[in-house]
Amino acid sequence: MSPRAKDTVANNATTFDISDHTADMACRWLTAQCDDHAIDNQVAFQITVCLAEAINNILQHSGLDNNPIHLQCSLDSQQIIIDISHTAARYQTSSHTSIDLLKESGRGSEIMRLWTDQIHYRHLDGVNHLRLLRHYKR
Amino acid sequence: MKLNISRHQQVVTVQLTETLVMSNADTTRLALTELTDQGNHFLIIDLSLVNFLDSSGLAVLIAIYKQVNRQQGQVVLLQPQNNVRALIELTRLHQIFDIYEDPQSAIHSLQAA
Repeated sequence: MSPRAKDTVANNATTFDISDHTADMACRWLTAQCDDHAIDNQVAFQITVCLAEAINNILQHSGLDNNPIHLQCSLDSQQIIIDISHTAARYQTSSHTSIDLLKESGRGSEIMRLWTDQIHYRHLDGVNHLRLLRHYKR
Repeated sequence: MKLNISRHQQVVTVQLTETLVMSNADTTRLALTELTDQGNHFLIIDLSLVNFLDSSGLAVLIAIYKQVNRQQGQVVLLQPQNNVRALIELTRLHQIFDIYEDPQSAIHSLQAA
């Protein structure tokens, strides 16, 4: 399937729609955003991994069908905010803070929790919203 | 995901490239499983070219760890980039994987196993 992407800039935020049903394009997009804003490589890697985990969770647990996942990234001198929204089914993420080291699944939520400063879930008018916030210093 | 494979006696080094993520996890896992099914139970997974990894990629490493352990083998990691190493340590997988920065040390550790 050929991925379809829309990349627009408005109100100091950049938005992006993915429909290739992988996190790959979204991660490349976020990496480019971080590069454009000279975000520290370590912070950029960590928030991009968190984005990958969030999208992987949606793809694995929500039955997305052909609906795109909408992303919005807002950056300023102190924080990066990623808003992820989709209309697929709601799902419950794992809240485990410690898992069996040899377990192959269940680490995504723990990674997001440890590498972001805030995670906020909201369901409004049939749309699921997930906000990841990470503070940083330039 | 392209795998570069080299052999030093019974020790096989598998160099992964670029990314190990959900979209290529299954094919990578299959390729590594075929390698272990062929009797290669002492593996070095060279991560030096891997610049991005997610939990699906970590799951591949764990799956191979369990496979070679069942065969009384061993797998170690070689030269993860700093960010990748940070993810491995964040998820405490450095407690089950020995990590080497020097290929010869990795080979010697497996030859002595």
